[in-house]
Amino acid sequence: MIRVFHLYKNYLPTVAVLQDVSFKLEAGDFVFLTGPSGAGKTTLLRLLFAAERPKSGQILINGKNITSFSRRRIAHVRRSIGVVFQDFKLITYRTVFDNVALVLEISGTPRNEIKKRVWKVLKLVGIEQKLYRYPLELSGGEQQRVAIARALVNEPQIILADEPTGNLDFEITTEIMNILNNVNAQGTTVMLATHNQLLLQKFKRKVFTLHNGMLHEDVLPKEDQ
Amino acid sequence: MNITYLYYLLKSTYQNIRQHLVINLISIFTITFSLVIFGLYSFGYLNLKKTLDDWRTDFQVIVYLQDSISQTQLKSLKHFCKSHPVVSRVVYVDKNKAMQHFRQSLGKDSTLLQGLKGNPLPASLELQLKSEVQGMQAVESLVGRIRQQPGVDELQYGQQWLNHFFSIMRLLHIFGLGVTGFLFFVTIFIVSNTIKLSFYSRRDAIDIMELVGATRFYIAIPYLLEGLFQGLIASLLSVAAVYGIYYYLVAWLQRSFPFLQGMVSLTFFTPRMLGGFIILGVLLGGLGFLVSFKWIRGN
Ligand SMILES: Nc1ncnc2c1ncn2[C@@H]1O[C@H](COP(=O)(O)OP(=O)(O)OP(=O)(O)O)[C@@H](O)[C@H]1O
Ligand SMILES: [Mg+2]
Repeated sequence: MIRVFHLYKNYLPTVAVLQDVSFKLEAGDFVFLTGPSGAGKTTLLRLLFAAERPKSGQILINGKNITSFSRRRIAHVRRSIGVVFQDFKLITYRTVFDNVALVLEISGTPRNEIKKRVWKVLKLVGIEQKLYRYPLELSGGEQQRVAIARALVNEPQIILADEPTGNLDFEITTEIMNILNNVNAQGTTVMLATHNQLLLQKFKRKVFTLHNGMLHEDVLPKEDQ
Repeated sequence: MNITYLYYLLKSTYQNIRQHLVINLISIFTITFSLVIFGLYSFGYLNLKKTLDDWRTDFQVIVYLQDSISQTQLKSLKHFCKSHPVVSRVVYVDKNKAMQHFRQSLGKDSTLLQGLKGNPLPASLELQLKSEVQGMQAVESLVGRIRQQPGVDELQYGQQWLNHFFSIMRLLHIFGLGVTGFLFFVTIFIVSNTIKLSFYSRRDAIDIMELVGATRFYIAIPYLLEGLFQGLIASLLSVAAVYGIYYYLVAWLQRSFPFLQGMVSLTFFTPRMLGGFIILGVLLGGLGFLVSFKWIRGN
């Protein structure tokens, strides 16, 4: 499903954000991506949906090397990846409904099908009463749930979630984790970046830890000081 | 292309235009302005050319013949003139006819001719030229060839007048094309800038759309539609404006110069030219889009 080989990334010439990162995820895997703030979690996720280009290394999604893809083919790859952005990335002049519907519009889903599916997924994340509100009229937690709904609505093969529960209380966090567990149980590969230790302890899953630009598998990080 | 996409396209285009209503109006006004100028120019050119063409069918080359010309010479000269590609009609006017015409043109004063012995007027060939004859060279070469034929005395043709006629038309053409070309250039520039503005005000949303899998083509189409829409509205407005000007001009001419009736008749554009006009407007809008959208291919 996802194969990463010897990935290097830096924004500034002298500072390496990722160094020789390699890993492999199969269909139906669920992995936490953790590490201190600034460790490169967001960077790694952005590389996986080709929002960044690596300095070197290969990324294979479903056997296809996306590092050499044209912009057009990247657009198509992105439609099979649901992304929950750390900063939500909702379109402010579109309603909650239209924000979630966007993904389906892009892939050419019929209109009545869009209505059904958007409603269903908004209900799933518990925000269906705010259907016609605009993102800026919502709380941070509500916006986050819209962002999650948008990532789920297309029933993607891969979900990359960047701190999807950062603004949510523990009750809703548990709900969201259950939703992600459910889609994962149906075969969706999930990679979830977080530095919330409680999450890692409560939901025992595979853990990738980023430290000094290097990725370690199944090493639980030390408690935050 | 499916219903969802069409719905999305129209909705986005509508939203973009509504949000930037004033800018869109400015853009539409600019296109309209240059189309009206272009329309008036073509209208004027069209009618001037038509009028001059009408007049030109009256234009003839008169070949005066020597009295000593023989029948065979006359016959071969006639034949030569008739078979020349520029000539549409040849009329032979013999000495008697010439005298008759002269008498008629003098009217009451024809008594002046009473003391005249014999007939001093020469016989002549009146050549009518084809109306599609362009430029002086064709006429000059015809005249030169005829002059070399035996039995030809003198040639009379409105050389000065023709010269002016052709060079004025040429000048008008170049000037008109230059002015409208410049106007179109400015128009495309302005349209492209309004579209750019509309685009950059949506930059965040556009980045997000790309991140969730929209192609640049998909994102750009509403902006193309915005340009085409501006062009369409502007061309309709300008056709209406040019027609209004035409309508009042005709009414004014009839009121102020009733004697001109029949001599000068104004024609409006043919349906085909109207179609071309509207396509031109839409094209201007589309070009405005293309100029502003290096983004589709670039980084
Ligand atoms: N666009 C950028 N330009 C320059 N430096 C960047 C850019 N984006 C990230 N960085 C740097 O790369 C490093 C990794 O950033 P990244 O956002 O991936 O960290 P993170 O693990 O997601 O952190 P957090 O937990 O706070 O979200 C940081 O040091 C950051 O300053
Ligand atoms: Mg981050």
